[in-house]
Amino acid sequence: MSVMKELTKGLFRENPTFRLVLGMCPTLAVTTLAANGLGMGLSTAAVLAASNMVISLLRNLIPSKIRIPAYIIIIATFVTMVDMLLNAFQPQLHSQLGIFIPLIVVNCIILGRAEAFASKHGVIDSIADGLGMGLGFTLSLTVLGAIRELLGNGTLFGVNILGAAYEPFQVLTSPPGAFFALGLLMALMNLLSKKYKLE
Amino acid sequence: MKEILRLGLILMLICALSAGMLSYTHKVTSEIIEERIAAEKIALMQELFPEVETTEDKEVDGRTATVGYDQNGKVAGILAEGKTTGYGGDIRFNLAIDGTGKLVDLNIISHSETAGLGSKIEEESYRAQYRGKTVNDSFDVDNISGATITSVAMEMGIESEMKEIIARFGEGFAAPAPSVDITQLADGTYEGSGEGLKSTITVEVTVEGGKITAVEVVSGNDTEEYFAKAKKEVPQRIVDEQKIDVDAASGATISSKGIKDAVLDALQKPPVLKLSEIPDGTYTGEGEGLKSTITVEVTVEGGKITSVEVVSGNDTEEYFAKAKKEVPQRIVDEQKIDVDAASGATISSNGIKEAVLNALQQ
Repeated sequence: MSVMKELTKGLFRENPTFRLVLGMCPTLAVTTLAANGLGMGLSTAAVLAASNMVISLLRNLIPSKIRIPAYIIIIATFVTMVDMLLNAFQPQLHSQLGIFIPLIVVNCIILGRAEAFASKHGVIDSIADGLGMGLGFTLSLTVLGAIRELLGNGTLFGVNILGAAYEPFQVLTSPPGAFFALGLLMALMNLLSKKYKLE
Repeated sequence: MKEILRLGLILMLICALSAGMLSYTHKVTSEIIEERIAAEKIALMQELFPEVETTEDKEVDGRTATVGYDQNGKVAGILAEGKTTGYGGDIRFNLAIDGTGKLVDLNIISHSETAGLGSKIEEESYRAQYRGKTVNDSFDVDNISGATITSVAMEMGIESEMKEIIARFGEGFAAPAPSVDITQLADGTYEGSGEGLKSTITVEVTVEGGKITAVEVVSGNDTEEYFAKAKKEVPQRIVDEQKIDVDAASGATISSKGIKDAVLDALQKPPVLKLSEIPDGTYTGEGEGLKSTITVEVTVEGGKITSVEVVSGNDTEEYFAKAKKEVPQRIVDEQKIDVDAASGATISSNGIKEAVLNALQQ
């Protein structure tokens, strides 16, 4: 039961983007297209689950004095692995995400989960937490990317949805558009959580 | 102390573990990544040069280029960057040159030309003018009006950069023979030379009515066995096909090329005057001096130039007097037009020589 709870909390109740407001830099930068958001989210989720697992395994071995450098090394290792794997097997996504893949290292969600959760909980719970948070991050990035792509470009995952007659709302694909979309989505989340009394 | 060692050791352990995992991932992925990058590069080159099979990044004299080779290992295309100085600063461009020395494409990478004027070099309609040109063509394309300096810089820059790039990366390049429009040639006999296998080959080419009527190998000292073959076949083919770039005599490629080069060299120069064929009389001709047009009267008697007189011309007197005194005398003495110029008065001297040639060609 508790594993399930750890897994699902990241999706909505403790969604890292909309509720915890963590990892804003990649959120704003890569969500011009739904596919980019999905790719970035899944990469982060993979790193998050793997680093949570390892950190939880090593939590009794790592002295608290050096825990931050130790976490960063572990996270950086997984990020670099994801970077290499994406470059090898998903080159197009890799070139689109560009610098934001290596920057997952300093994504505060990952270090935050390592510090706040994995270093204090068991392996299974930590993996569930990492996966849940990662999937929540993926979900928010994909939704954000989908909205920006649909309104800003008339397409969704590269498929033309709104037709040729649609005049794209181009500001949404630019950085200010990211803030607009993010703000509106956050407001919606606040509204929903109040309505269903999730707090 | 003990504590620090323990912490350091633990960190080291984590790092070692991390290094192990990374080196394994690297081993698995690096080959795939390298292969993909190479494939992408080949695909890019193939878009420009369909024959390309393999590519190589090269650096010569500080210039870099991606060179594509066809299945026989011959250079099939070169992609390199060039630059020229425009009105507002450096203009950087990419040149794609194919295996025959033709400019396939031109892309402007960056420039700081005036927006709306010089910046039009980026436009397709402007760039298209350069496509298909070889270094032997004229690069005088339609200028962008209001941006003459930019236009001239582009023309000169592209031409000179193309030459530089081909000189460095175009080894084994099937450079096309520079074209000479045979139909535009004046009647007469032309002389030129080209490098054979072991010697310089000189030829005499006769042109009549816009056609090559005869090609004669005057001298050359290549291995007789092959040279004889080249001498027999190549001149005949040139006359038959009315073009210079004919097939080589098989087994005598280099001698053949020497002959072709010599013919080309000959036709790029003014025809040789055969004084003995000029009827007696007085001829008038004009040539450009430093500041004025120089007119001369040349008298020919019995196949010889008996006098050259400068009739008019208005170059700076100081130098012109010298040229007027020395050059006509030399022409009469040496019975040829291409005599030494009067020192310090080269342009006036050349004007006189040009005028004499002009007179005798009529």
